[in-house]
This record gives sequence, C-alpha cells and structure tokens, in this order.
Amino acid sequence: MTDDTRFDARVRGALTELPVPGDLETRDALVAVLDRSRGPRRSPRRSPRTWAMPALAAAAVVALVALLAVVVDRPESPQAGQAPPPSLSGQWELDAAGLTDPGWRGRWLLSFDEDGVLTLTGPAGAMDSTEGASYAVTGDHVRVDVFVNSACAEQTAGEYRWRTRGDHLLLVVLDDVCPARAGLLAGDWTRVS
Amino acid sequence: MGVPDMGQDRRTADLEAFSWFFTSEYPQVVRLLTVVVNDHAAAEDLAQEAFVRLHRSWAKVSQFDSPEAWVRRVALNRAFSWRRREARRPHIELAAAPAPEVDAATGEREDVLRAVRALPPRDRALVGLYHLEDRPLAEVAEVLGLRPGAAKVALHRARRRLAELLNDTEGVTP
Repeated sequence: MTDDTRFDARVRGALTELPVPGDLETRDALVAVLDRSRGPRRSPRRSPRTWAMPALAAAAVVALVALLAVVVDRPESPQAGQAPPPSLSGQWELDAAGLTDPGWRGRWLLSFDEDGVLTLTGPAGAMDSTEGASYAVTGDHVRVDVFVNSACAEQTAGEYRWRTRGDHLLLVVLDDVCPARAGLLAGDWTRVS
Repeated sequence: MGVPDMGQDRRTADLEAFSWFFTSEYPQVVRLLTVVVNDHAAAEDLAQEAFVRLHRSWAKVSQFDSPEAWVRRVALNRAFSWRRREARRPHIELAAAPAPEVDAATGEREDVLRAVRALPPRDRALVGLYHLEDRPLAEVAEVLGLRPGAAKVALHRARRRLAELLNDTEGVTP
C-alpha cells in the first residue's frame, strides 16, 4: 500500500463512520420534501405589472390544486378476491431499525397473497395484531388496512403507490392517517421469495 | 373505456423516478453536508431544501447527465451560505467537558474528523466528494463548479493541509 493510498483509506475510514439517515428518516424526509415542494412558493418580486399578479396567482393555485387532485386521487375500490400482480406477489422484507416504538424495530416480512390477504409479520417485540389484514391493488396504487384492529384502530385504510425494480419494492405514502403504519410500510422493501 | 390520461401517467412516472432517486441519494447528500457544516440536523435541513428545488425542477434536471451532481451542487451552495451565516452569529463558548476515554479506533476517527473540521468549508467539500464519495476529480470539479485543473490543485492543497493537521505528511505526495 502506498503512502497516498494509506492516507486516503485513513480519511475515508473516518468519514464513512459519520451517521447517515436510516430508512425511516429517509422516508419521512421524502414525504416532507414532497409536501414542501407542493406548498406555496416565495412571493415573486413585484413588477410594474402588478395588475396581472392576482390573476396569475389564482391560475397557479387552480393548476396546483388540479395537479394535487390528480396525484392523490383515490382509485375506486378494487374487486375483492383478486390475485396480486406478478411483480408484487411473493414475500418482501424490511429492517425497520429506526422506528419510534422499540417493539416494532427489527425485521418485518410482508406478502401480498391470493384473495387480497396481506400477511405482515413483525419482530418478536411487535405485539400489535396484523391478523385479518387485506390489500387491494388498482394500477400502481395499493390500499392496505393492516393494524386496523390495533395501532390504527378505527382509522381508514392507507393508500400507497407501489413500484418494483429488480428485487426491490418501493412503497410511497399517498394517503395514510395512521403514522405508525405509514412509518413502517413506506420505504424500500427487498424481495425474499 | 376512458381515454388514457397521458399527463397523469407522466406525473406518476416522475414521482416514482424522483422517489427512487431520493431514496438512493438523500442519505449520501446528508452525510456529505455533515462533513461541510459539522451539524447533522442542519445537514438534513439543507439537503431537504436542495431536494425541494430538485423536485420542482425534476422534469428538466432528470434529463441531465448527472442529476446527482446537480443536487450536490445546490446542496453545497446552501451549505456554504449556511456556514457564512453561522460564522456571523455570536457564539457562546461553553466550558469543555472532560474528554471520555475512548478506544484507539474511536480516537483515530475523532482525530481525522477534527482535522477535517479545521479545513475551510470548500476544502471540506473537496475532501467529502473525493474521499467519502470516491468521486473522480472530473466529477468533483463539476459539482463545485471548478475547472478540472483548478479542482486538482485545490484538492491537493486540501489534502496537504489535512495531512499537516494529522502529522501525516508522508501520506500526501508533494
């Protein structure tokens, strides 16, 4: 090893020990970024043509509302008893190391089974019931009601956008009033089988 | 049968592509900014500001050869501004707590990080891009808006300064 290489390795070794956001923090950051990006922008500098600004602002608001309505548009309720899309079927895993509830931290397994049955298995410390969970897929949207009898009791199902790439499944929150469920499900899952 | 909404398809594809990009790049950008600003929470805020800008320009920037370089350039510019603002703010010096005993590996890491923190912000960025992210010099130059020759000289000086701070001058070829 040359002195240059040794020096590079020394510096690199120390810098790579710096903390990076975990899966949960990254998911939260993504939601925050999308929210902020869709939020109001800074007021533009005033120009002599101030008469046009209210009309332009109103048009921008209308366009923004229309865009958000499309992006978060709920799909119709899908048919019960459907088979999962081939790319979604199988079992997926996620290491939820950064969750607030210590009992939920650890390896979770998720599978989209026949007849709309969602099977979610958590680490030993996760006491919340996942029994009876179901899912429904419409295009690239999936609605899930897991934890409806425990952590998300009396709350509506959550809706996510799903996409697979290779051995990875990305779930992005579109609408979920249950933060515990969104914190767990949204993110990058890895195929197990 | 309804008419396909091509606009919605495009927006959906953009959202997915952005989400993948974000999931892949955000943690790395936060760590790079932590090298520059030495404050993890500030690094997260600054990185998110950069990604908000990226999202608003995603249709255009995603067509670039290197959106990774673009978002790092925006993020680093914000980090440099943040450092300038922080430097103007009055700081209260706190009495130093007694240093806890650490093992050799931790001590070595702290020595290197302390030396990096002693560099000017742009040199920290150079060191972060080159040593931490292992980017070739041409990409380092692109991110920082420098000509390759200028980036090479600046990186050499930063490494030399770092080696002096670490009493490791044999590690950098003069």
